[in-house]
Amino acid sequence: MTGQHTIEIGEVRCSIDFENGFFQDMFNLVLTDYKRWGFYKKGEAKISIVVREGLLPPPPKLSNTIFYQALDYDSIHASLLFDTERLKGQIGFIMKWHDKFTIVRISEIIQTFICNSYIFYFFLNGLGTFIHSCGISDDKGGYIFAGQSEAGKSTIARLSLPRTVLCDELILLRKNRDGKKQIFGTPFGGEFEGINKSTDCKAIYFIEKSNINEITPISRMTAVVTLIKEGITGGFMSTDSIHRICPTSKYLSILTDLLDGIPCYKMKFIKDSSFWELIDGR
Amino acid sequence: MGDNTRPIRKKDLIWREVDGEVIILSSDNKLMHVLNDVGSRIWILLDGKHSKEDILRIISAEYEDTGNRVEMDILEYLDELKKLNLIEE
Repeated sequence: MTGQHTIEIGEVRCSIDFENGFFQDMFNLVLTDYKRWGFYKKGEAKISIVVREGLLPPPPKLSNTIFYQALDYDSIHASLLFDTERLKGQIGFIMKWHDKFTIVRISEIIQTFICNSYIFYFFLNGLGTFIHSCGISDDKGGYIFAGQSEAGKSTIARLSLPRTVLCDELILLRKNRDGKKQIFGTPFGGEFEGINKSTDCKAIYFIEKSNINEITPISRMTAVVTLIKEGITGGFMSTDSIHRICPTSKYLSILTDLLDGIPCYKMKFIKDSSFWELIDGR
Repeated sequence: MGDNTRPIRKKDLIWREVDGEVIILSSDNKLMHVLNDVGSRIWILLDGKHSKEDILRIISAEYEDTGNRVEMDILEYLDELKKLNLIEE
């Protein structure tokens, strides 16, 4: 794969243009996975990202529309710039040295930047958000099982087979054109490979490992606050440079709107598939 | 109570009411206060038009409760909101 690449998440396309063959080579394995999982799609891109060699200068002044971040990550210096009005981003890399982790670091930085670019797109258009969660779909619709690290997202994924696992780490919840709330798989998976499929959102469960199965309804406000306070939508949102662009007040409004009409629950679960009997019985 | 003071929500606060529950963001847009149903109802009444006495009367009627305990609870609650710099009188 050479030249410009286009991926799709949540029915929104993003082009990634490598000006330097070395950095493209570093990312080719990830692109191959995206292709295998159905996220590599041709078509007109709303978001564009250019990856180049050399650091990018910071913007001349603080801005509510330009995101800028400089990173020093092991063998790599990187600078990230995203213009949220034009939906154009750039990543500049400088290699300090080359070791066996360099390919991983470069891939991680590019993937995180892609994810952040999508967050900006969905946020600023009031359309959706990523949620640290496992997304499962069956013939009734889609279910989000949200929680921080170690909450049991991948466990839920394993225990839900043969239902479809959309992703076991990061799910996109977004409104479609007619206002329906849908969940989408993303390529940002954990143990499971994400798949580029979507389904109507039936419910959100905030999960907790336990020695009992118990499902308790919670209010929309409790769900929104849990999402924000526990960082389930990403620690990303608390970074100052992001905060200027995505203020909590707007974030609150978007989450409140997104969760309207979606039943939300706290769910304690035993490590077997019996929790599905409770869900199916609701 | 006989208190005609009309407490009012601070203007620079951002707050939302969702399904009868209120969430308040501090002026730096970060800290969140989530109010329970009675607290949320009182918050809605803190519009500068209702006196403390009005608020006591309305809450007592809506929650079918009267007496000194309710009055004390409401006054304590308003004190707390004031200490948190969320309202002014």
